[in-house]
Amino acid sequence: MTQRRNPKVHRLMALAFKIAPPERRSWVEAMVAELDHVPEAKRMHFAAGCLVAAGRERLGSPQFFLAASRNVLIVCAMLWAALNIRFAGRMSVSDAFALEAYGYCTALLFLIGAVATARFGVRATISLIAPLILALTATAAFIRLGSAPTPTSHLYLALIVENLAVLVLALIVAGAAARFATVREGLN
Amino acid sequence: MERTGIASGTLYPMLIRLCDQGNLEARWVPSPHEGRPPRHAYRLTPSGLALARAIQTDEVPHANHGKGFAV
Repeated sequence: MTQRRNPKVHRLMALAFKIAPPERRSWVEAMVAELDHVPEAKRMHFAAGCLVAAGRERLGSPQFFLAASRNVLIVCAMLWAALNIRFAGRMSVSDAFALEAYGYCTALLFLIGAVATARFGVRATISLIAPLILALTATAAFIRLGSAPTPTSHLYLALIVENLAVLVLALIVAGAAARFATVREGLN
Repeated sequence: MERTGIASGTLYPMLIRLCDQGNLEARWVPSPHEGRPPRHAYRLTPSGLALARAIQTDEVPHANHGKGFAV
């Protein structure tokens, strides 16, 4: 298509094409076509600029942002599940069956959340988290108001509040990602 | 690019935004030079022209874009 003599310039343009989101590839083709009309001495500078432009488009792409947020949520959910399995394992040593079951159940819920997020995206995360937050809040309120304050009830309350904090954080990330993607799609 | 001094890394994102906003239209035109590939040609749409006139007469506040990354 073009008479590009400098292989570095060619590689930069090929990289720009790969980096650019699919809906912007025609623009990179336009840049490649323009390269032929740029003086030889300025082609490297031009190609570097095209790479920056492609990178900007990729970073601003709603699909990229959603994918990045989804991956962050999945990794964090897996890590939290792993920590809960570790906690449950420790509780099994001390014969605290209820706490062990709580740890495994929490780990299972987060694993389900990670799989659902991987399969259906951040909107699935929101759909799963919202009712879970309500259920945990109701449980926390019941423990706080409906039972006598004992070290065990305080421990359960602390565990629930800890999970609530993690879930609220995940909800904020998922909600912000979905909102940002919707706004960006509206702008594009 | 030579006239304005705007680098390609700044210019193309601006062109893309203008096209997205419907202020600019881009189309492929054959190169007047023999053996050269077709090029993207750009033209302001009526709304783009109106915007440009408004900016020229300072009716619309415009940001100082500077040279961006200047690449």
